[in-house]
Amino acid sequence: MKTKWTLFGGVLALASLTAAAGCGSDADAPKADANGTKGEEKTITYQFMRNLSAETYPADGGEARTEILSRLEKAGIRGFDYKVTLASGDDYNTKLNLLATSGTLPDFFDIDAKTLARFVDQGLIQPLDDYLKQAPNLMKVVPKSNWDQVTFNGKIYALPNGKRPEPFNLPSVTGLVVRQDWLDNLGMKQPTTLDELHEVLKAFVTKDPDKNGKNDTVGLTGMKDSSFQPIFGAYGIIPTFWLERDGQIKKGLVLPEMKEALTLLQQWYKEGLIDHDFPIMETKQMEEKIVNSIAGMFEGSSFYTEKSGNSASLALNKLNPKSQLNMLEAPIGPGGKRGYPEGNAVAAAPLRALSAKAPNPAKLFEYLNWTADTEDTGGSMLVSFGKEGTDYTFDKATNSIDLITPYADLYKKGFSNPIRMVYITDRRSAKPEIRHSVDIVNKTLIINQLWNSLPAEVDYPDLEKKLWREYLVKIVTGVWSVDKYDEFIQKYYAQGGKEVEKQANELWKSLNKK
Amino acid sequence: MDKSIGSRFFSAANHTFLVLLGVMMMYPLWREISLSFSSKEEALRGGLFLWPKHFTLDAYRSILKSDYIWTAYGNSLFITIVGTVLALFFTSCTAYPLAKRTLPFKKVFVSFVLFTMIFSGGLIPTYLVMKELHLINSLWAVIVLHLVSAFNVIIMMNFIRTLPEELEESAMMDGANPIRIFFVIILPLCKPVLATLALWIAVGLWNNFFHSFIYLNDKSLMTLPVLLRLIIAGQKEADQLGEAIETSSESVIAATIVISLLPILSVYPFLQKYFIKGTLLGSVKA
Repeated sequence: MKTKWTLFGGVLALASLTAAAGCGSDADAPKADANGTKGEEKTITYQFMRNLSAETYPADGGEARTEILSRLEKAGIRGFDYKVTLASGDDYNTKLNLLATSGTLPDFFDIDAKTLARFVDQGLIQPLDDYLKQAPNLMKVVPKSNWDQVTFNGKIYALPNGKRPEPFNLPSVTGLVVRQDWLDNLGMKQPTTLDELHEVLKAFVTKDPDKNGKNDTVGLTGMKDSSFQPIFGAYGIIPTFWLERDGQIKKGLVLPEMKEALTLLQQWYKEGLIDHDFPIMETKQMEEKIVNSIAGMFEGSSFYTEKSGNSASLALNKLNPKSQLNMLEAPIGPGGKRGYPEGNAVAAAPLRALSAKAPNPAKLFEYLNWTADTEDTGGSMLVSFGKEGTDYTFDKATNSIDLITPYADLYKKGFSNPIRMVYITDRRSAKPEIRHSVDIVNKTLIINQLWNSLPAEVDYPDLEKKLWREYLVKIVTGVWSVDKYDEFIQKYYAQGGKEVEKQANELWKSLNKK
Repeated sequence: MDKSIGSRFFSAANHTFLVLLGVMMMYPLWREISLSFSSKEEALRGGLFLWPKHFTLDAYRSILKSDYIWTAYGNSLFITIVGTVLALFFTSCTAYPLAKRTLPFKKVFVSFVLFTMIFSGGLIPTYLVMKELHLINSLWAVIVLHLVSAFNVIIMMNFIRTLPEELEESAMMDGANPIRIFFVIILPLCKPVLATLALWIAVGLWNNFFHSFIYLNDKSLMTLPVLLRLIIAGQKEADQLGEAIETSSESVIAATIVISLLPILSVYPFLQKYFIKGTLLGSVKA
């Protein structure tokens, strides 16, 4: 496989050369706008491509396409049509690269941050600034900070996701989820500090919280990628975040607070409060433990806290109707600090880029602008949830949407995610419990100072994923002593961390100047 | 038939070992089958499945009534059947002349074939060729890519070499031309090796994910492996967005897998006897 990828790179480089040579023809793309107004009768079918799994989406776009096109007509946007190609998983990038090298990129497509940077260099995609000026709705739904991650040399090259203004649409959703019914069984209150958390976990393990007479429960469970962020948060750091220290930013994992938190985690693991199997578990095994009422607490998203939000909570609820999962507030550490990790605002959905060869992008953006329009004449609701009355109902008083048609059937009709080319986080269809959990998570957040991906991180990909995880797991499980963590910090800097930190600071300073 | 204690013991141990091995091989398949008949909640609980828990046909009901699985099924069947027949034809057509001692420049031709076994064009050049041939977004792309594999040609070549040359000579005396000899005498004698190759090629085409994924864009051209991948990945995506989807629960995934296994499972036993013979014949003489 390695050789294949090198080949890939070579050919991509070649392709970029040809693309650069073809720049002359790209230059008339904006000119086409002027002509576009004349030739509006001619219908352009835009090719969309999304990294999404929706097996039920119909080949011809379904009834949604007819409906959307007729609504567009009414809104005065003529000569527009679309065709969606769906592909999913890691191979999506392989496919995208192939399409790029063969010069057959779709007009508007999903892309990740790393590929985006490369495509910009190779001139495969075009800046959006001119078109965005004509699209006030898009500028309204996308928060200002989201544009930072898609700006190269002062130009915007991709459309990040937007969000609705309600607080429950904030990007951070992950925190500590607890079995509230177990707490009630034991007559305990929700823990607010690390000490109380310790007591609760201890009771979960030893006091038979599910009252089945068997000693079969674990406290805090996790999986092989768990990094116990709420515990680190109680010491004021998130290991993988950039945090400001004395006018500079540093990765949380090199800060002295790490060792305090590790000492605690090691102690808890030794006491049996942390699931002993966590380093070898996948998400699936973790969810099995939740569904089987074995785990009392875990790091999870707010969607776990209501049965409609997650398949595992739904199964748990069916098997054990009295069970209740609640979101805890971030525990307070010995220094009074607390916090859950901030969610990456841009990660909610893949970025969308515009091919350099896309015909008449102005018309495309007219359409995108319409899909981001939340007014009655706009398409936002139609595209996301289908037809009002048949597919969903909207209750103005509680500002909530009730889906009549479940997602799989919405896809079948051709609505929702497969055609959301502007992704707007809209959780009005989520239950109040979930909204409440999102509120709790967002109360206390630790902010990442820099979300952009750095070239050096691409050069040294193993620093966090392999090196750090090895030390984390071995220290938490007690194989190594906490003092060994100093060795990690040394290794981290020696194996490329220095370069990463340098680039991060340069970028951070340049972004903050603005 | 006296058997010493030692040999009886060996045989007992041997049997136990092989039975255990067999069970180990069978269990994953059995688990999927049990999962597919279990209720959604039980399927999510995981653990050991010796029997369906909470027996229900819901999973099958929900897939069988959807049209996308039948489209995918049809496409996969088309690729597999047409692909296998054509691949066998082209492979044997390539192998027969190469097995003849009298073919001029035989070594050159054989080394051409061997060359493709070691070096390949790579993904991107192949893609560009397919694009120029206008095969992108056509089921033929997958078929054409699997028409002739060097390995199969060599197996076939070695098998044909073991056939007595006198057969052909006598046919020639009776006035048969080489083409007739090939179709009437050689091919029927090649049945064991053809069956072996057919099975390999068919399984390969039936399971082919990557080429279908890369070359086919249209929804109406989806094949089963691609569909399976979509269903499985869909579950994860839905959980992340908090948009639980009915169609991709654990038991539905299992049911889809079972359904997609059926055709190959039903062909296998009938080809098995040729299979062993064919592989052996190819390998020993190689």
